[in-house]
Amino acid sequence: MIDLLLRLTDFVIPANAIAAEVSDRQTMSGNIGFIVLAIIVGPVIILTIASMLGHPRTFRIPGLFIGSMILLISAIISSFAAAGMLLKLIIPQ
Amino acid sequence: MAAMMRRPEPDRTNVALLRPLLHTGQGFYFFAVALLIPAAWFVYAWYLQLIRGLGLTSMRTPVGAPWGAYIANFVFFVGLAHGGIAIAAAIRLLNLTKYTPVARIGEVLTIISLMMAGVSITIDMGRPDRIFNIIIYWPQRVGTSSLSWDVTVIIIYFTLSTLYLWLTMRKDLVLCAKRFPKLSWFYKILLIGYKPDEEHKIERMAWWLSIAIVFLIVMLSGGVVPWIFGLLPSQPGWFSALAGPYFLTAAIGSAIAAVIVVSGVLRKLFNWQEYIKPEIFKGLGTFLGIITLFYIYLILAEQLTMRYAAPLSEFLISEKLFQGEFAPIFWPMLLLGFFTPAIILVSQAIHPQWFGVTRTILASGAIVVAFWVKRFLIVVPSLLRPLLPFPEGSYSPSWVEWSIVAGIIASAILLYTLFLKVFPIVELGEE
Repeated sequence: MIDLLLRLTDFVIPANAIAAEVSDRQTMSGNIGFIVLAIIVGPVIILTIASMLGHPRTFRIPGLFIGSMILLISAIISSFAAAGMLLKLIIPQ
Repeated sequence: MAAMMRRPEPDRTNVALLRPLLHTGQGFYFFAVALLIPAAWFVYAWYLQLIRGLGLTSMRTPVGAPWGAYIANFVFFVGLAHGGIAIAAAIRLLNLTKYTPVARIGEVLTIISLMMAGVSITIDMGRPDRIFNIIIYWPQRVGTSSLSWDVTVIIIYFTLSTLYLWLTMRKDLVLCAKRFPKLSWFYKILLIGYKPDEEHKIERMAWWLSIAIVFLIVMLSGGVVPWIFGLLPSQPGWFSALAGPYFLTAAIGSAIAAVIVVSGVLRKLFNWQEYIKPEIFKGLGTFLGIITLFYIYLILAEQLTMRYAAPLSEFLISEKLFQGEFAPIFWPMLLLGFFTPAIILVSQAIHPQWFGVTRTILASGAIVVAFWVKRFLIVVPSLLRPLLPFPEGSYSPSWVEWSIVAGIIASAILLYTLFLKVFPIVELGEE
């Protein structure tokens, strides 16, 4: 029974492949990623700004927060570069 | 008056909560060595994989599974990462002060799990030395690549979670700096710009950041991570609008289960019965039981769709789980890993006299394991059925993959243990 089903499933494959092709074309032309990221990152930025405003009106902690955020993101990006360089020494090129 | 007498004094409480920092017994060293051995073995196995290539794993293409245990591990740790801090955020937003003792346990779980997720995905890469290309080619890729969205949102999530932990911990770091002069230089770095009046501002910031974090959790664990799978129309078993809620439920469930297990272990190890009370386990256990039952419903909905009138390729993936090569894993996972623990946890809520902390921890432990297995069953069976006319493959992780997965888990526990030795894992009282 399973063998028969496996043979039959070959008929499904072209349909899947076409579906994938159409989907890819739509995605490529739309650059949907920018919309997705805007939907995700936009509210996060607004909420983060909201966290820094309001009472008590001190800019010491928000300043520290922003500074640390920049530092941390820079450290993560630098760690990508460092890991890449380190791994180049190990992996046969 | 009686309640006041029962309440522990602040200093006594802090001494008890700082027990992991104050005492380092032989047991700690044995435990650390026991974790260092698999961690070192993981480094060795990865070194072998780096110099000999992914051929050392059982991942194969076009016949076989190009993704395996590493990706399952990645999805598992991302899930743990999301639920951990969700508990902390929910405690702050909903004012669930009863659960405050486990808030930081969840926050730390988040940060360490995210690191391990990053390690898992790096190890899965064929050429991890090109990892910086993710950043270099980000502007070109982000428009279309769901993997680029993942990297972006995970970096933002990691940054926010770490800063959230740092901000909410500053008050306790002042006490640590006073009590532990040897490490005071380190605490002082983290206390940069500290003033005693900052508590109110931090509380306000943490409240707003909690909303941002909850939103990110939904969009990451219920969004960009499941979209790696759910947006692929050519992949039977993955292509589904259900992927988001499915992954999100798994993330919350696995993380709550992990927080229960970690809290239970810490409670036993450091005699924190007075601080991490049974009510916490009861509440979290009930919620976990309901979440797990809901997850079983999602499995049912998914399998019904795959078996009722779906394309044949979908049905065959379902067959692999129901009576094929993955049935010996699928059924124990469903019955022993999800169903039985969920029934135990919900029964405890219905009949309070059946409640037991140890039982709750054991049931949660079973759920954690089941969620790892489930991630494996999401990733692998779909990939074994080729879309082009190649013979069907098989996949069973090689010793290198098992070594690396075990080593990553050991490293996560080791990092958690090290955190315990340097920072208070439960919020301290005023002194």
